[in-house]
Amino acid sequence: MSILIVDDEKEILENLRRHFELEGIKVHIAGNGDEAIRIQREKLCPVVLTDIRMPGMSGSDLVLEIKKIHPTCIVFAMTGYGTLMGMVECLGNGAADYFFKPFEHTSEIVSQVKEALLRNQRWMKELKSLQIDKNQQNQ
Amino acid sequence: MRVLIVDDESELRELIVEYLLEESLFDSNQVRTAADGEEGFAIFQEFQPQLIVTDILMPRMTGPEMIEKIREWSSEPEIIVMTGHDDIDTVVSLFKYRVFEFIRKPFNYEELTQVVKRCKKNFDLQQENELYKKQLIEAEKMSSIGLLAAGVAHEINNPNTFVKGNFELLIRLWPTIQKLINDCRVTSPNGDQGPDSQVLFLSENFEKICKAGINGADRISRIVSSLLNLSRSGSHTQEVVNIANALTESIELTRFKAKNVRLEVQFPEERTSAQGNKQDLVQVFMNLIINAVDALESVPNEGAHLKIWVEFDPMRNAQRIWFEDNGHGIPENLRERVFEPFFTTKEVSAGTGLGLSIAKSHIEKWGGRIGHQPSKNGGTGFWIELPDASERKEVYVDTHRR
Repeated sequence: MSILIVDDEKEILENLRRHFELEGIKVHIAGNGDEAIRIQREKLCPVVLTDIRMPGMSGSDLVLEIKKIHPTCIVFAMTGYGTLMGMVECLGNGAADYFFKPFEHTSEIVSQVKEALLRNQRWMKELKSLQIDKNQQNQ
Repeated sequence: MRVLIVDDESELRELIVEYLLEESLFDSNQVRTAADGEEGFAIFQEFQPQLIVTDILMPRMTGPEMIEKIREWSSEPEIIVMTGHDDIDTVVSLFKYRVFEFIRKPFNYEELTQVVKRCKKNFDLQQENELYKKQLIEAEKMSSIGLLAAGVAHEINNPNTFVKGNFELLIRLWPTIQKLINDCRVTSPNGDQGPDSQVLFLSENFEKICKAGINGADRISRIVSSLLNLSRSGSHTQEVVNIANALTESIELTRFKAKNVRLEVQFPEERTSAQGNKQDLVQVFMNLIINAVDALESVPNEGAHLKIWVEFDPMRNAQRIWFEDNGHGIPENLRERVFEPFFTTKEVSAGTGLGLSIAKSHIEKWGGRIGHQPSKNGGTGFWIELPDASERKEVYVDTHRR
């Protein structure tokens, strides 16, 4: 089980990575949208956490791209603006939820991500069983 | 407007005062008289009149001599000079002292009151102008702070995120560190000598240190978000707000902070509503409650008292919400300044100094007013006035109904 975190602030990436790794969740990190897409194509992480404002591709465009690669991926957005600026677009593009930086409690984000991972696992299982059913019907 | 009348003829002085009072241009305590220039100048210094009506020829010190001395002190008061027939040279010499008007003696009642009325109108306009200038500067200040805040919020929030996040990480790791320390102690050959003093210090203080770091980061983010609030004031739409609901919500949200204060709330009737914005109004109420609670900190337990009530002012067609505490009050020299952005008397850690200036900007936007006055019990009574929007109980017939 691994997740992808995207932010142009290296220290935030490192800090979040440590929080997740303490919980046994493997973390891939990317400093911008292009790098994130490259990693996501290869790793297909079920959960992605992304900043909104980054040099190059914006967070909300990234959400769109990630959803194209992997429609069941659950994406969370983070913003340091302290306002909902850019957030509506992001949610419209398919982000599941958003967090304001600095986080009220980082542990809450960790638990939200864990919950999303479980949800994704469940989806995958259901999807698989549906496929099995379909294959059986076809036979 | 304060007026000083200087003339050596006591009858004329009295007559002028009578004229002015009769026209109810002034209250009787706003008018003073003097019998010559010297007395006039002495009263000017102490009474600081905004209008001086003076004769020219007087014993001891003449009118022009007095005017010259007054103008050395202040260019502010308006001056009206009463002249005789042969005073042309004097009149010309007085032009440089900015005289509002010359009235030729003998004058009649109508002449004098017209000139004074004109002068008073002029003065009122100037005052109004000053007020607008002040408001403009204030608005300018607020909006530049807001712009600045919106610009830097992101830059501050980002580093603040990992400052806080790293302290949280350390707290999470603390049990592991503690375990390590204990293990070391057990296996250490000189474990029986008791723990090293620095290790002891670490055990006692590690969590506190991390929490202090988190508190600091939280404080920074609170300041940033109130600054952002300031810049956003204006984006929330105006609506009809039920005062009782807003009050209940703000009391609920401040309950923890106000747990040592005896709260006496006279809730308004369910229908009492005003113009505003619910979310912002709750914030404004919360600010006032928190300020009162802070002011009550020095009051010994059980004695602290905050009274909140709502009254309708039919003259202004407004709902007035009062927050009266029996705390330490606001020192007289600071009363004017409480609405200035960044002005705070609280310890640096406690307040941002923005609560009341945000409140003021919200309330004025809704067409209301905010103010305060010392309360009878030594504390402070803050009031908010909002345009009334209550549904009246009277049933009226809608003539447009089809």
